Amino acid sequence: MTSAIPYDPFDDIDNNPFSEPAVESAPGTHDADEARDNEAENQPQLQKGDEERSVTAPGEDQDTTLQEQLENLVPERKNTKFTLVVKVTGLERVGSLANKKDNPAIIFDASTNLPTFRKPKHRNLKKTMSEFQNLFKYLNAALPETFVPSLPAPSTNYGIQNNEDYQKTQSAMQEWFDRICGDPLVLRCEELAFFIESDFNTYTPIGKVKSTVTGLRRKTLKQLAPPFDECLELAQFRPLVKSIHYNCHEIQLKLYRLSKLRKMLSQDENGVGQTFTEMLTDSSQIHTKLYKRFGKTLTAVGDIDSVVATLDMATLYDGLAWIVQDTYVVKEALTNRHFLMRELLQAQQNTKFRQDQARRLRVKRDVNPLKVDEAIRALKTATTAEHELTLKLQRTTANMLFEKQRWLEWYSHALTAAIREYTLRKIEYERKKLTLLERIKSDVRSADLKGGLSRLGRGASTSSTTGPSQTPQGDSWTGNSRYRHFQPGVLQTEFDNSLQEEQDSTHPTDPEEQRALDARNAAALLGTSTF
Amino acid sequence: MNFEDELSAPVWDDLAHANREPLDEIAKEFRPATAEKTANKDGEGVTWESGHTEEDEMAETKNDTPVVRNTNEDLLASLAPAEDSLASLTLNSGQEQPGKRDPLFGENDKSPLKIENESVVTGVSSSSSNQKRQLKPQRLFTTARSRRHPLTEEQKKGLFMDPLATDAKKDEGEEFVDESLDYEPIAHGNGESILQQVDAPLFRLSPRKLPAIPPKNGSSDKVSEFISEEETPLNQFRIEVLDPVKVGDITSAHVEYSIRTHAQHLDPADFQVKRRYRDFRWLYRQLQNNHWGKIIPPPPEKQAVGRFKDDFIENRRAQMEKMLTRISQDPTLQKDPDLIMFLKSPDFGQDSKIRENQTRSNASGDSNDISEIHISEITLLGEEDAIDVLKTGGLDESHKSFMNLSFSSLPKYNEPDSFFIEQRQSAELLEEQLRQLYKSLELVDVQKSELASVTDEFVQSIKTLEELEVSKKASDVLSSFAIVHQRIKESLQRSSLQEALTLGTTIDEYTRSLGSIRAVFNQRAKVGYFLMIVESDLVKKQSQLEKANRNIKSAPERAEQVAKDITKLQKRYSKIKEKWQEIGETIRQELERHDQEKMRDFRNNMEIYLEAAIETQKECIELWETFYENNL
Repeated sequence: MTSAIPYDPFDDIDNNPFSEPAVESAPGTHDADEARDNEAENQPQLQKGDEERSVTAPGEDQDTTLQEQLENLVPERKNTKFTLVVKVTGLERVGSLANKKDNPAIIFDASTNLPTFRKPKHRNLKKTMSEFQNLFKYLNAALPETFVPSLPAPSTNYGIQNNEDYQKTQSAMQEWFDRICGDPLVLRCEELAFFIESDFNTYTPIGKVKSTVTGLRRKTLKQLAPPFDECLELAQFRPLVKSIHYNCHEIQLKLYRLSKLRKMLSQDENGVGQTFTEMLTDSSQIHTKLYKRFGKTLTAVGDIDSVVATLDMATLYDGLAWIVQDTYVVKEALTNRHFLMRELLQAQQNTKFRQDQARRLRVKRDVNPLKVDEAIRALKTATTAEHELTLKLQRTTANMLFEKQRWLEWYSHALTAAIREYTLRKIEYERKKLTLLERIKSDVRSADLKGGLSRLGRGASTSSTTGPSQTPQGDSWTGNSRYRHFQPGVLQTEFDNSLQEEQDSTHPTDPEEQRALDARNAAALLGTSTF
Repeated sequence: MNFEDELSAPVWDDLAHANREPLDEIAKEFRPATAEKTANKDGEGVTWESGHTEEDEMAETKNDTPVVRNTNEDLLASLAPAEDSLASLTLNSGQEQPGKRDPLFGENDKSPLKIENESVVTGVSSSSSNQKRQLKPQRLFTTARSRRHPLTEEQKKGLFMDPLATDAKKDEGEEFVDESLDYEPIAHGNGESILQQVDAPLFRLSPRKLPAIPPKNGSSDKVSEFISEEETPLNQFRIEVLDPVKVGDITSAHVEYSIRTHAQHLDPADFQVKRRYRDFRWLYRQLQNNHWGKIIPPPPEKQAVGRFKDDFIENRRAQMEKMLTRISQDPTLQKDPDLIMFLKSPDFGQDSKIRENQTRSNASGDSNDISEIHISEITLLGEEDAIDVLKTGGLDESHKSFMNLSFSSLPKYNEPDSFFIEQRQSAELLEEQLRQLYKSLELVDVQKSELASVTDEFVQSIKTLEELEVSKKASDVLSSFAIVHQRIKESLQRSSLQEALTLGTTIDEYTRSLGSIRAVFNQRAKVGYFLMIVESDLVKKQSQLEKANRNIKSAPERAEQVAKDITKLQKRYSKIKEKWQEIGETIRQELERHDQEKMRDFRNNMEIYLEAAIETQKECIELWETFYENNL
């Protein structure tokens, strides 16, 4: 309580003499400061009006004005006249293996109406990945108000030098450009123009970045409890992003283990197939061919497992990898905001301290006018700095609230896309596996007339359905006629060649004919015949 | 013994060879018939056996003569072919044979039985005359020996042997005594139990008829014929191995299984006993001893660690049940008294020891490797001789002590028949491959269960991500994604269990039965080895005898003694040789049947495996399709 008493009189005094010049002076300095980031000409007025509102409006009809208020804080959001359209047209992997893998060149076209660009259209621009990384680093540091999208991985788990990798990397880059172009703050950044208009492999960031908190200091500060955040939404957002980050990372690790296991499993399956191939169980060599084919099929099935393992990595793992990257960037951006808040708190304290000093001087009658002057000046700068920071924080908060929505949308989109791709690939290869297995079914079936399923009384019915159970018309095991992800391609596999030499019997080419007996027919047959 | 022999020798010598030798040969040929008889009529069987023991003695004494004549054999040999060819020309009518048999067998043998046999013999021999040549030595001997006897006997022989008679010259010199003792070991072996007698002839019949079955040709027909012949007396057993219970304190802890048997032909039809794993191994060894050359369904492998884990016990229980079921399905083995005892005896510990002692099977001195075997001297040589042998420390033991003093090396057994060598090699190769396959399957299984557990973890992390509820849609997708993975994991576990149950157990059983096959080969090799030992002993003795004869100064008792030893050895030799050949024949049939059966089983399981894989695959596709449709 004792500490609370001295503050009251100060507050009273605070209203009158010293705060007013600070308010007036703030827009000017702020303007100068912001000019580098923002090209909008009408900014000073806007900021002024913005401040007036923020001073006058806190109490009344907050809900309706909140959105407007936020938009006023980030005027770039209102103005959507500037656009940049980038179209990624190609990808080039040249040079050493490491260079191919980590530093491909991306070829793209750009068209824009931004005044920062020298000409509106650019064709066949070529930039290496490391240039992109430089740009990203710069943007991330220069624009603390926004979540700069992280770059996708330079190569995928498909392995370089194949079509899938090419397409995937290209589309990921396209997506990155789309996200960049969707952010008005990034658009207005001159550096983007510098980047696009620089020659191939020459870009380095031109503007200087204010150093943010880095290194050990950053680490230590992160350990402290975050300062009080009046914006509850963002206060909750950081832990959320953080746990998304860790969870996705966890899933990635598990997926990695899964795919490694699956690869090992496929090796063992190959081993089984191999032994079958070499088996000479019969002293009479009648069935050697059967074992050979069976073994080869098992080997091929094992190979498919290995392909599936790679695809798991290439689809879901890579998808998650980008999310992990992005969550990290977002998290750090939010941490920077915390630092900003700390800075503001310090500035506020500093202002208070200066006020205190000035007041003390005023109490003494016989004071040196020089000293008074100095104190007043110090108080002025402190107050200005505080206002600047307040404004910056408000602006950051406002922009991040927008960005948060955008980011969440992107997150669920990216996650779903990764899972979708994963699922489609899974379906494709599981179907291929089924094709392979079904191809030798009839051979194994006919090896022994009495045996296997015929012991269960299924011999007669299954012997007639030796064709593939999956056709463009649907799958024989289900009555559901919804759209299935059947492509004729799944009836052939990459491993057909290895099996081909064994395959003198014609394998069914006309699926329509084979479909004579589907699951329902079979059920009907079984139902009537036996009882 | 010696004293008895000395007394009896001269007495019998004069009488013996005219009648007895041919008789033995006949007996060999017709053993099946007589044996069946004994099975049918108890009273007759008894008289027949008593006749046997007499005969036994007679045969021993009679053996002296051929040995003495042995030196003259070369001379005689030159005459043999001529006589044989004559003999083959004059085929006997059925009338002569009963005449010859009468003095020996009395009423036991009747002509109609014999004629039956003849017809079978001739039928088969004509179909597989080529193979018969491999067995020449046996027949050639008989012809050589028979020269000395009146022509009528030879005629009789001719009846059986004609396809070989022309080749007689070639092999004569090699062996001198052959069939004279054939009958005796059987008599002794059979003396142990009537049930065994019933079995034995069924198998011994075949060696004569189906010599050297070609492995590659469509011999399945023959085998099936053979099986169907036997199948008539097949009894139905229903055996269950149940309730494994861990008993005993910490030092003697073991698992006991209850075996419940239901068999209509036994009285009472249902019984239940408690057995432990060791007892199953005992049964395996005992059956192996009782039926040389038979591939006995093997028990599961020994395992020192983790014996009390539930899945291991369950696995072992299933394997043992399978073993018993297979044994009980074999027409020969199912009648084995030891099996019956195993299934019924309330005091197994005692009974098994008694049986083991009777047969000298050494069944409880059981090694880990099911292919290792022990040849019981009793089964090999008959009781009396075996006791004699055992006194001196076993067949090879006596040999060792003898030969180590003199400077000849131990004889080594070389398998003369390439069929067995090939079969053995291919069995070993196959075993190796199956082991490999089993190992890979096991690896796959391990990997799959690992995969399942990691999938579980994966699902858990997906769930935690889902619980963040970042957005409704993403959470929905993630939760169904997790569910799909969960279900795929379950299906994976199911399929790997299925694999273990079908392909895994089949391969495991197959591998073990290959061990059993190797055991059978080992039996043949071991008996062959004994054969070599006895042969070399015999050669030694003969040279001794020669020396003694030449040297007039040496005491006549000494020569006599040596001669007696030779007789004994000859008898032993022929017994072993008979066994050795029998084993060979049994192995041929058994291999054939085993191959068929096992391979069919194997392929069936391959099919089941494949079908299961296909079904799993369909399920998997369906899961993903549903997921895609509902969520993406």
